[in-house]
Amino acid sequence: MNETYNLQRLNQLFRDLAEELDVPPSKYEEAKEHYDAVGEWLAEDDSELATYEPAIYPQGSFALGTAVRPLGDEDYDVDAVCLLQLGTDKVTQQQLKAMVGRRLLHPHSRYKEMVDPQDGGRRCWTIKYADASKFHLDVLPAIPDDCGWLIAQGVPAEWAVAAICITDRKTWNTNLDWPRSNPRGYSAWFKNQMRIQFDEAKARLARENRAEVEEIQDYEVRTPLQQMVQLLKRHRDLRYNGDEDKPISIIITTLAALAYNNEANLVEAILNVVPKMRQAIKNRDGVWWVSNPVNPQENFADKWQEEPRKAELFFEWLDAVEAEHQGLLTDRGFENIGHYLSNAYGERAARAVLAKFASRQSGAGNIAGVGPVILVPSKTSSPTAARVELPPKPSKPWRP
Amino acid sequence: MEAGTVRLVIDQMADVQARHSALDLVIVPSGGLIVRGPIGFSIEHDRYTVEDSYQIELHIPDDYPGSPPVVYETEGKIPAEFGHFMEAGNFCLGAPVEVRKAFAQHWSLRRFIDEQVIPYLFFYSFKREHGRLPFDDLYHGLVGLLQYYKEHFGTEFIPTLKLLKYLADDFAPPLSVCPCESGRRLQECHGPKLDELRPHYPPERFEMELREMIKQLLRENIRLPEGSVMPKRMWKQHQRRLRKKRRVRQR
Repeated sequence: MNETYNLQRLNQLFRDLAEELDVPPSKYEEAKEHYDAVGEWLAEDDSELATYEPAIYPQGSFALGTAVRPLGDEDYDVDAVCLLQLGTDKVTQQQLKAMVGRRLLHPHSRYKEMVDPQDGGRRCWTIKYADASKFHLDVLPAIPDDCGWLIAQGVPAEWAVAAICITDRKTWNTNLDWPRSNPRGYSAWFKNQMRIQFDEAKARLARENRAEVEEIQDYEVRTPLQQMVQLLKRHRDLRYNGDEDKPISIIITTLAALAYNNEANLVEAILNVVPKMRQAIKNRDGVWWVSNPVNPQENFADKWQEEPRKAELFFEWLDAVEAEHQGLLTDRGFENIGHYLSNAYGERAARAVLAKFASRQSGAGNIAGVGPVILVPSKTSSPTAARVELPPKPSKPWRP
Repeated sequence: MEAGTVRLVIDQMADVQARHSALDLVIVPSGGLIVRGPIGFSIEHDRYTVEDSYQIELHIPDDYPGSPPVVYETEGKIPAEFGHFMEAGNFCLGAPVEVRKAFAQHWSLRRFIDEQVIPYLFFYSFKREHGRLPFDDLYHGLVGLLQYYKEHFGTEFIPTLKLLKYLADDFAPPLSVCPCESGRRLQECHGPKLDELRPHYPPERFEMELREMIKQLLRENIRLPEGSVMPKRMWKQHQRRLRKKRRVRQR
């Protein structure tokens, strides 16, 4: 009977929660400074890369606006593509990877001590910044891909043109074919999936700040889709803390964006999208398949083949998310919000959100038919007989 | 309620639950915060061990931690005849200023429960089991309040009223002679004892308590040095009334 009311207050609560999980704009700016500086170093006149016009741009959650604050002591993980203007006929994967590495590890490079590990990762070079900033930057060496074949596959040209070839140390000795990727095309596709809400959010922020829409940076606004992805990722982190087979972000992001219908209300979006996320997971002759929307040949779920538990966990997780969020809409569910939030999103975030919720609630006045809402659930149902020492001078009870 | 206050209570719950794990924190539809649930304790006292548990509610006031929580027992396990309740039915943990003073020493919900609420519950359990009180309570009514202040200052009742007048009038010249007749100056004698109480209530509250005590004493025909114990305003009203009476008599 209170579903509409619960939906309304749940929406505000989840928006606060997403804000709590969000990476502050200053971190986005810091990240941009970091990768721009790397880009400058790679492109300096005396760099062997200068002739290939190295360009650096973000990819992954920082590019999508779906990054979440790291849990505990973990670092912010920023991914950037380092694109060199070279063809697959001019360079091998090994050479490309080594060129970028040589420049980063150059004796005069400020990054030479920061590259970790010093021989590079499987696909990228990782730069670790000083502890206080809690950043590491993954630089992914890449060259442009020929996009004709993607367009032939039906990928719109505007996204296809951004396709790149990347290196993979694990396969470069056995497979001469370059691994392919298209992070920039993916970002464009993702943004397109939330276009209406994105423009709306920018216009709203511009109005609030009395600024021009063009002055608003992409990272300053959040659509319900971005917030939903942030919530789902943190829910996943908490539920499968450290499990190697946990649902991966790119699948969560892709399925959520595919099912998103530009809902303006965050909770409505979650309630509509989560049940629909299964629909885009295809089973092609016994092989689970989640297509990359900007490269139909790429299967984000390719690992599910070797490790069926990954698929099991993913479906189990979707069921849990759906049931939990449906449950919250009922009065009984909502009354246990404190329990739910700290389990699903962590105690720190839950506390901050509940404090905001409670202070709003206390101004809202009496609502008929709604019971007490548990902010901090008890840890046990029956009391333990705490051994208490009487204070040396206990207060004397009084009978007024 | 301010978000900062709610945040403080939520944060303090971790400490509370480390000892009293069955308590939870809820917000009721009217917006109030309540810590509720069963608490158990085991206390050794006077060769006896008392183990008991109660269902309690701690209502967090809007100005928390400026004021301590208000405590109720919700199962009716403590009968009304026990009597140590405020008008609203909440526990009367002690003289009101003492409760605030004790809480202001830590502003901790956990210590409030352990050092103020549980001793009160133990006080009742012990009396129920052994038919006598484990430690003294205050006398009934205003006499009890006066008793508290006497014990706090360590003075007889007239000097106690004089000291309370200092709090009620918010006027306590440090160089004046201390009302306890030690011959020392206030600042070297009972000044610090006044300072202990002053922060916990506004002067109006001390004035109200002192007025009530004096009215009661006068009703019982106890002679008082009225001018030096009545709060300033009360003294003026009193003189006006006396003058009026005198005029009526002369006529």
